Amino acid sequence: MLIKIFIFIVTYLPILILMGIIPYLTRKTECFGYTIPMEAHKSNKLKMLKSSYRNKVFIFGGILFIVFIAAIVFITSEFIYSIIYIIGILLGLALGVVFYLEGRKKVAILKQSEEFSLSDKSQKIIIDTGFRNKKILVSPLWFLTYIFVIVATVIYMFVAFDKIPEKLPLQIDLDGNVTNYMSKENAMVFFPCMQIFLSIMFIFLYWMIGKSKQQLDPARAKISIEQNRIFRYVWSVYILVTGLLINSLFSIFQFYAINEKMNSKSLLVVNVVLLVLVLFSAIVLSIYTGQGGNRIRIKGVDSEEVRKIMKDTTIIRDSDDHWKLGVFYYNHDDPALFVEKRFGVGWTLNFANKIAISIFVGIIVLSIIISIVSVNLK
Amino acid sequence: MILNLDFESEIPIYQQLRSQIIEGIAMKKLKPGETLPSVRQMASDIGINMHTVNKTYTLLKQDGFITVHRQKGVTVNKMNKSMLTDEYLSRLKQNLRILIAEAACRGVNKDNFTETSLEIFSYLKKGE
Repeated sequence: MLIKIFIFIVTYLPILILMGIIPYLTRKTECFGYTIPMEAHKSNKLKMLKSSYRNKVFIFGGILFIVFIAAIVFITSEFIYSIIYIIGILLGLALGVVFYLEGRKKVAILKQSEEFSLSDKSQKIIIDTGFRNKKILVSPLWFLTYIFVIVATVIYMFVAFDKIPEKLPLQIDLDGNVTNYMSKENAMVFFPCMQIFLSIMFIFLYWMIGKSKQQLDPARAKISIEQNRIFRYVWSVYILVTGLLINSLFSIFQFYAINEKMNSKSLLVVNVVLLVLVLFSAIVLSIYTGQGGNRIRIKGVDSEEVRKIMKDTTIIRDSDDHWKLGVFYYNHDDPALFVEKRFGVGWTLNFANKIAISIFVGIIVLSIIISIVSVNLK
Repeated sequence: MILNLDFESEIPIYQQLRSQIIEGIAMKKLKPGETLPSVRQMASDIGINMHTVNKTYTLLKQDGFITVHRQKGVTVNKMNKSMLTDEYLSRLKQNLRILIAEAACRGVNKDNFTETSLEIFSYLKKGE
């Protein structure tokens, strides 16, 4: 039972924390999905809005948390536990959405006031023609490690074929018992295929980070270029490492079958450790970079210079119309596939772009197919 | 180099792009051999239709400012004397004629005009 509680805590709490602090991580020119003037982000009204959102998320999220912990303690069925777990997380997210929309409504009202008006400022877009000549991504050669892991595992399994038991574990429950097996012939094809599929997804994400639209701040051009460069680089490293860890996890699953010293409980531990690592580093990274890198301090630029620059009357172009509910980017005239999120850290799709939508749908469909296949493959 | 586009200006975007790239080359912010983003990438970064960027690049290519390679991408050309064609000189005279005519109407005298031109020349030569 301790493991169940632990897993719920390490997945629920990080999500809750992240959700509560997102308004503090967004770009200074964005608030609850709306464009605002740079100077306005210091306004007390906005500070109250943000803290009100944060407090609501934490309080209600906290109450929900206690309720669900209690439910876990008193319920013994594994099946019901997994239902509770899913409902818990979904409810937490739903709360976040409710409070977000609430905050958004308030910003919409504020935008009509003088302090938040953008109409007297000239609206520009700036881009750096040399941006992609800079080091914005970690070297792609690192992805060779993926190939190494996959191929080494395949070879090892092949060589040790006779030592492998007839059935390999596919699923472990939270007590460390194996609940689903796969025949070794199927497994030796299935596992590497999964690794390849996941590797492709991670390489795709890496590529997407490089390709995504330049979103620079006209009032502080040079700074925002460097911040955005670091932002992309750092997250490309995160993607690379996460993909490597997940590939390794699949290899470990396969090694388990051969090595009798590893029991299924340690497999569970490895799984959970990986999960915690990936989640927590995402949060730490998000806090360090902020969206677009806006929280990154650039050396050699003192705050006086920044304040002077910020008084500029040019601002980033107001594209509120294209951001449905402040989170879904829909712009038919924009050929960009990927853009930075407005409320959150990371990237999202241009939903008006057919290629982007097919990628999105394709990934979901493929994941569903794989899940069904893996359960039915004996 | 940093391109600055104003969507509320009367000047069409393709023209703004063209002007800024030419200025960038004049000011050595864009060096010969330096690459510019592809049509698709540029359009995606700015958030405009690819046709607009294509138009800009086509004009720049025609005038000898850039070369568009299928594989190597878009590169800035080395400026040389062969770009000083008679056709260009007559176009220059035509454009100046309109500028000077309006300036004269508005009371700008010859010296002011020359002084302003010289200022611009030295500003561009200085680069940034």
